[in-house]
Amino acid sequence: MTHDLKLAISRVEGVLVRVLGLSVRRGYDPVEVAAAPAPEPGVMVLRMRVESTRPAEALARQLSKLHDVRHVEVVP
Amino acid sequence: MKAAELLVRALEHQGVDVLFGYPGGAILPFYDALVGSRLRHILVRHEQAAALAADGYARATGRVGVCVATSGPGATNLVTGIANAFLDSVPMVAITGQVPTTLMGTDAFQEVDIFGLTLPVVKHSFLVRSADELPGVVADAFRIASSGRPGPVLVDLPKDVANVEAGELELHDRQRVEPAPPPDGAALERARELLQHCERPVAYVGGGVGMAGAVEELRAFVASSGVPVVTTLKGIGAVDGNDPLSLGMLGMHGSRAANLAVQRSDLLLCFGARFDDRATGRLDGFAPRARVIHADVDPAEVDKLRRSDVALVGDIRASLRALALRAGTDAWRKECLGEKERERMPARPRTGVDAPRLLRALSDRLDDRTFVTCDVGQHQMWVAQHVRFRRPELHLSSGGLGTMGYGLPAAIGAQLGRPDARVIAVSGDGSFLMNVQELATVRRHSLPVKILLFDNQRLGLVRQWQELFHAERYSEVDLSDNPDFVRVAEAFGIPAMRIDHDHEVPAALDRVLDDPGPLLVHVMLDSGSMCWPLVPPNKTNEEMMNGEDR
Repeated sequence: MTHDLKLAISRVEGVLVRVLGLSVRRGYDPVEVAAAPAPEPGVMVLRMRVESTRPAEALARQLSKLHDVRHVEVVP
Repeated sequence: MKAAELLVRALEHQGVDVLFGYPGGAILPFYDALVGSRLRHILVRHEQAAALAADGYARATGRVGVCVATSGPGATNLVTGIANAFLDSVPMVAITGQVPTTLMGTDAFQEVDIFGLTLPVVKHSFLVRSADELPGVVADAFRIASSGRPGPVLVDLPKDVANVEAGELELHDRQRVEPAPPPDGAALERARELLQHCERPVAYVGGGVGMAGAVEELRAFVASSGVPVVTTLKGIGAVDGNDPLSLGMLGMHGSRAANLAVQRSDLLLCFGARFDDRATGRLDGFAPRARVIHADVDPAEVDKLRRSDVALVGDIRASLRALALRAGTDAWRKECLGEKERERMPARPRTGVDAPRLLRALSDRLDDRTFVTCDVGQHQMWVAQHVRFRRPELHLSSGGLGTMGYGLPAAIGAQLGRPDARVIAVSGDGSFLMNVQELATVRRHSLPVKILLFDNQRLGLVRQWQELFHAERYSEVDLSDNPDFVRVAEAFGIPAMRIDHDHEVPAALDRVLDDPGPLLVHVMLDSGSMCWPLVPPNKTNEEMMNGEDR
């Protein structure tokens, strides 16, 4: 099944690799990814659609632990 | 002041006293700045041992362990130790030199993208692009490493940045590690409700209790509620191993009493554990009739492998203080303790020293200031089964990663962190040769580390699996051409002795406990040694083998 997530992330070195790498490692395959600067300086918004047999909330909780991830929501 | 010197000052400012490392080209500025510093640098003989010693230091002291290596192979050699700290949630700061920024991305000499390479096994990482960042990076690294669920943090420092004239940048003070927030009140209320209606409760305790400083709270809860306790490998010692309510370790090599209690329970009180496969056996058959209260500081552990009925995310101490068990579970407690009394020691081996009984004898003579480190294999499981630890931090074992070669560097780290304590490394003949070079570090610093080297001339646990599950097709497990370990130790300047029979054990233990300096005891075991009980792969924890039906 697919899950949609929206993240607010700090615009720092390696942050996209961190987020996508963690998603893949935990068993969520990103199939659509879009990142763009947020209005707030130093912040990016990352929208991502992932495929997985695992629940979206488990990925959201893992992503929330990343130091450079400020906010994660599962988009219904 | 150059940035490298600023880094040294920043480490001093964080309260670092000992660090473990190995110099090289890209980290030269840092080593130059170390001259005259009050930091005590311990030169290991392989970078992996630097990371594992920092891990042992951290576990024994509760402080952040620090290791240092150069770029390229120095950095990649740290990776196993960083991964070890990640999987066992050990606070660590790993500092690596990097090629100059102008050469990064050009396949320069000794260039490797250690930032990228370690992403899956760090809690966080920094690539320092300018000297101005250093004070903040160092303070953040130590705070992140030790806060919440601890873990390793990498600081990668390119050589040109290290050489920049940084002036007198102001250092950041050590940041206070905020305690985790208390769990949700409504969740606590639901947990109390479950506790009022259970008949067969079991506390399932992991390493998170010790790391949260919740040992006293756990013991108070256990004493007041009378709940039987099982522990994971890392939870050993959270309740005193001599406490009658301690049923021992659960899981693949767990005790029969611990596994049966969990399988029969109707309420599992999980404190700081993570339903690891070595603990649960076949997951869908684990504690099949139990509701689960899961208390953990890490929200991502909740519902990761086993769905909880109540999640208490936050400070385990607060959860333990708020919980109480109703009276009236005496019959269940008696049933659990009855199973514990029926536990028997495994059959004696055909030849050589009986390792489990040696460890029992050692355990009887241990005090609460003796640290025991392990390598990985049968001896590690025997330590977990037969040594009764009074505190969790006294037992240093590579749980999550299962790193052969952990024991000796971890013992070095523990001894340097706790110079007045007794430190015993229990190793196997396979594991020991993975970091044997660290005997030179023991010698150089005259560390009174004792080494009990169990030698069955085999990779014992792998051999056991090949015997049981691969139709005795033994593949690459024969180590019968091992070196003479007594002579190896003596070549490093470390006194050593060998024992072949049980009657030699008491005198050997006298020396382990009383010799003022280092000592290696080479303990000969039967080459067919087995570690029982064993839950076979893909079986539930009640389907354990005990060796008696063979």
